[in-house]
Amino acid sequence: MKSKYDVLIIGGGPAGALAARTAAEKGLSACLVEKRPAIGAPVRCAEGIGKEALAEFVKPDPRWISAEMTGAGIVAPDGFEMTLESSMAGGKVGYILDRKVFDRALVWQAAEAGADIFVKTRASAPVMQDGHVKGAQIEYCGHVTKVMADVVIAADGVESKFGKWCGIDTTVPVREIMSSVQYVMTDIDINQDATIFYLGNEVAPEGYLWVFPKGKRAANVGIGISGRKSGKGHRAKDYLDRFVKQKFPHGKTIECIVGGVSVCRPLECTVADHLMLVGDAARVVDPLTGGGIYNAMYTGKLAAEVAADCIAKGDLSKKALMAYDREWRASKMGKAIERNYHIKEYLIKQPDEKLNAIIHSVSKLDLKEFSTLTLIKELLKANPKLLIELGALAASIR
Amino acid sequence: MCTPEPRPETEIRPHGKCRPDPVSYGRPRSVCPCLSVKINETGLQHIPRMLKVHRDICGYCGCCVSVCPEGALELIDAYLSVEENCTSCGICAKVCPLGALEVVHEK
Repeated sequence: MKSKYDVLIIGGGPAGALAARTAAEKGLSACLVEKRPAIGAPVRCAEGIGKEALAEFVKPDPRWISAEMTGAGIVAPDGFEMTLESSMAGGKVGYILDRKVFDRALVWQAAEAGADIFVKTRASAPVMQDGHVKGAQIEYCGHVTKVMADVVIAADGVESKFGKWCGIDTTVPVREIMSSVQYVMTDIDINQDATIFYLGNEVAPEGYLWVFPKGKRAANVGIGISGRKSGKGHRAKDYLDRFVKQKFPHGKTIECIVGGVSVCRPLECTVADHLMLVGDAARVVDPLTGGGIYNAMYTGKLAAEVAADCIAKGDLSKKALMAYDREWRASKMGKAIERNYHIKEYLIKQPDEKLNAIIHSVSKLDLKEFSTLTLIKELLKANPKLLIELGALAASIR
Repeated sequence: MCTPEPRPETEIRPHGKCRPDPVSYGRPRSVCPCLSVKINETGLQHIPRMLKVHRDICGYCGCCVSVCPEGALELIDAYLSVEENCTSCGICAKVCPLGALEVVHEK
């Protein structure tokens, strides 16, 4: 490990890996530190991603694709299931990844591009000089050292602390953290080509329960509920156990993972002097779906590109780095987050009867394209009253 | 140790390290907003609380870290550390997917 890099990246998830890869490709010296001993483990993810979204960053590889999806199902609180089938060419719309292998492949690419990688290595404090970040204190197996960098990219995930240490408030409101548990189950009867979402206040209050196939008779079976609805005796695990007992009584759980997913608005500002926050640390998870892989890769890559520009110009002030903040907010991703935040806020307030009515009405439609936006658009067409209820948001969807 | 006067339930008066507790907000109670007061034979008594991590239950996921308003929690690989500035507000205990965190009275 050198004592000085152009870019220091904290965290080896998809955001950090893309940042490191991009920085190295741009000819910068880049160092990525991951506190866990293994990249990609433990998994904190339901592992679903759209096919096109993924292809923007990496060539699909069967080594880290567990399953390909052709459709989706949404189960209303009353048990009615609506299905969405893709009529797109080829019919495959999304993947369920194997994140352990996927994350490792991304970091591998960063390493091949020339970035230095260190695992079981933790940034335990920022190094501050003249009131701004100049690097980080790095701990590795009892050794403590300082690594200086022109820019620090904090990709330290939902449990991000680095931004906080530098004065950026990253606290997620209780009601906007999805308290989540997931079992990787085998020996269960499922439709291996479709992701299924279960909605309802009895099933998953202010969240949803998912069954994402990982193969013929295997799936990620998980749940996220609002932190506000969580408490002793009614935690995410309690809800999931009840569902599994009823739905897959003979299934076998080969992995149990837990996590928190932020469904709040992104941070008000994702940069400071010499510092950028990306991925879950910047709270750029899609608030409606809880999906964050694409958003992490997008912000990670963009941050490194902006960092490269700013390093070339010799200006790493907050003002210069703001180009990153502005660009992701104006991007398709930024707009989708804003829009989906409103839709989420609307949906979580609806009683089960209303959710039933909405899902029944959408099921009668013939969806031509397979996306959340299409679904929402069709939903609005079928329920003109929703337009009024959604207020200002409606304009941005039409 | 402090023995605050009983006061209207709507009034929130933090004392010392104790903070108003958003989790218990609005709930009828006979204790101070920070929940650090217990009733015993001598009347109201301020007994400090602390956050207990049940390490056998914890899944080391960091969900709690993201909601901590004090930045008092940190996930160090498979070890959750609780810093001195923890106010025992209990927000983390509420959101924990597994129920690994508990606010307990020190005595």
